[in-house]
Amino acid sequence: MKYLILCEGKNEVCIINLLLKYNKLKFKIDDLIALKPFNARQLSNPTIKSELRVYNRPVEIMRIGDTQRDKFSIPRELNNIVFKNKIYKYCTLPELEILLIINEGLYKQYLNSKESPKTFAKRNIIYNKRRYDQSSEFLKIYYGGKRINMLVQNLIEYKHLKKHKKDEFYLADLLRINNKK
Amino acid sequence: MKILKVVANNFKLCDKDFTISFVPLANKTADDKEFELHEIDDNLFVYTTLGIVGKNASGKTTAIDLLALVYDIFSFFKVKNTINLFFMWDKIINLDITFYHEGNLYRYTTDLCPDESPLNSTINFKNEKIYCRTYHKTMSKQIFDYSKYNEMDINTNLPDDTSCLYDILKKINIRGLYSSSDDITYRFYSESFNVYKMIDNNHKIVETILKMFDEHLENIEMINDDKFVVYYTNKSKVLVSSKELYNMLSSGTSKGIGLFTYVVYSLKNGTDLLIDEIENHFHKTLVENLINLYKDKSVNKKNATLIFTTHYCELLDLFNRNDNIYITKYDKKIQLENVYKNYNFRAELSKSKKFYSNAFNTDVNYESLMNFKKELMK
Repeated sequence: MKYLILCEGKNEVCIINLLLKYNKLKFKIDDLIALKPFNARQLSNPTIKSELRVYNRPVEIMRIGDTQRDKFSIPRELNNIVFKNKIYKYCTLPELEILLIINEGLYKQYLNSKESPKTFAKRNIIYNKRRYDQSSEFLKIYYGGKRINMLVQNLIEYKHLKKHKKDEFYLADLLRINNKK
Repeated sequence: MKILKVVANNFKLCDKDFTISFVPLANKTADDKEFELHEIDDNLFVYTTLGIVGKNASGKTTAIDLLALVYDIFSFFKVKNTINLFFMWDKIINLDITFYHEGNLYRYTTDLCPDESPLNSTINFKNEKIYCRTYHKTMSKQIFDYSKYNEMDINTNLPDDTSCLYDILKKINIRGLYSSSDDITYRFYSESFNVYKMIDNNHKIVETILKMFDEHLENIEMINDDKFVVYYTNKSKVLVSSKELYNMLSSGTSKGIGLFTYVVYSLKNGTDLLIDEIENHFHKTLVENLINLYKDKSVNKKNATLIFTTHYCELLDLFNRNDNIYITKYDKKIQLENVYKNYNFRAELSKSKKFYSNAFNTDVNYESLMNFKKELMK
């Protein structure tokens, strides 16, 4: 069975691509519909629908983002491909930047700050003389190369620190070393 | 270089101010930015794909011929394919083209005239003008406000049949490829193989193309311009000439090799690709997949745009927007309507359903069908 990965934003796509590139996930690029994670929240986009129709077999959907409270709808024409019980949420709460904060050892400071992870990261995180600017380019530099192992560690540590709802999985669950669902 | 808008007058049977724009008119959603649009500069977007539909003999090919002419000028600074340009219509053609190049917006206007000598089939450029302004993200909504453009001094020492665009673009470079609906072009296999030699000498890609069209083929190797070895999946192989190869392969495979060579070149180099009748010879899935390649930024890394005509309006359901769909109509003159500008319906509604419900007045004439049937019944 192939996976369709729907990421809430470009930065989530970037994180998944980094993990794929360095072979840290329990699946490979060949296992993904259209050989890539999509930057989309729903299945309504015609390109995604078309890619699923080309495959035309049941898929597992992984929705990656922060809160993901919006209702996920399955277009009628995809009823033979997408099934409700094969849709999983993988979250980084409250925002993806929490991973950078963990990596910098600033988690406690962040909790005391009462700021959003995004604002806190922008204010406090500088790497290679570059301040965090919410861009995928920053993430690529920050977690690319040998630093990919930091990302893996941050995902694992995040899972220890945060408690999700029952239907919300952790990105760490997708790691090769930790692939329980 | 990216073309933003083409306005033509006196081009074949086209209506006056015949306009094709590559710049979005409607609002841009996050989804659109992901699949439907290229951001070529800060807040300056062009379409990844543009579709032209219409019934038979409504002017789809003429519309794409106009673009082929424009890309010819932008690639070679000459009109290379002069056949039929003034065949039915001997008026001087006027072109008004807006384009983006290296941080600047340009407006290029010219007249195209046949050479006065009857022995010479070249087309000459007359009354050429180029206007320019620097692009800033704040002006993304005023790119066609020409009052802010300044006229440039142009090189008048060029031959009459050479466009002064040479001054701006400097070197000959294929900036647009045209795949006509004519099958003959797909018989020149050696040209396709030579293209792969140009692109990283990547023959693996030929193998993957062949397998998309014919599962029995393992690979084809070019020995010279007229000798090929065909390898089959059952391990047999055969040495054939170009003509024999054409007879051996299905028409879909032959067209596939030719067209997908263009696709590879286009995506690798960021060259725009024009395809007349994209659905010819191909399974719908293959056509959908081809269109999706242009919407996929992990493949289309250099902002190539796919422009195609089709009778197969289901393909329009792959579009999330309305403004990158044009409809051709022929009533005394060929007219081009933009679905967003000329028809008022939500972009998420099925375009094919709208088409079949005759929302665009594109139904095939019922009486003409019945008249034909009546003749057969006699």
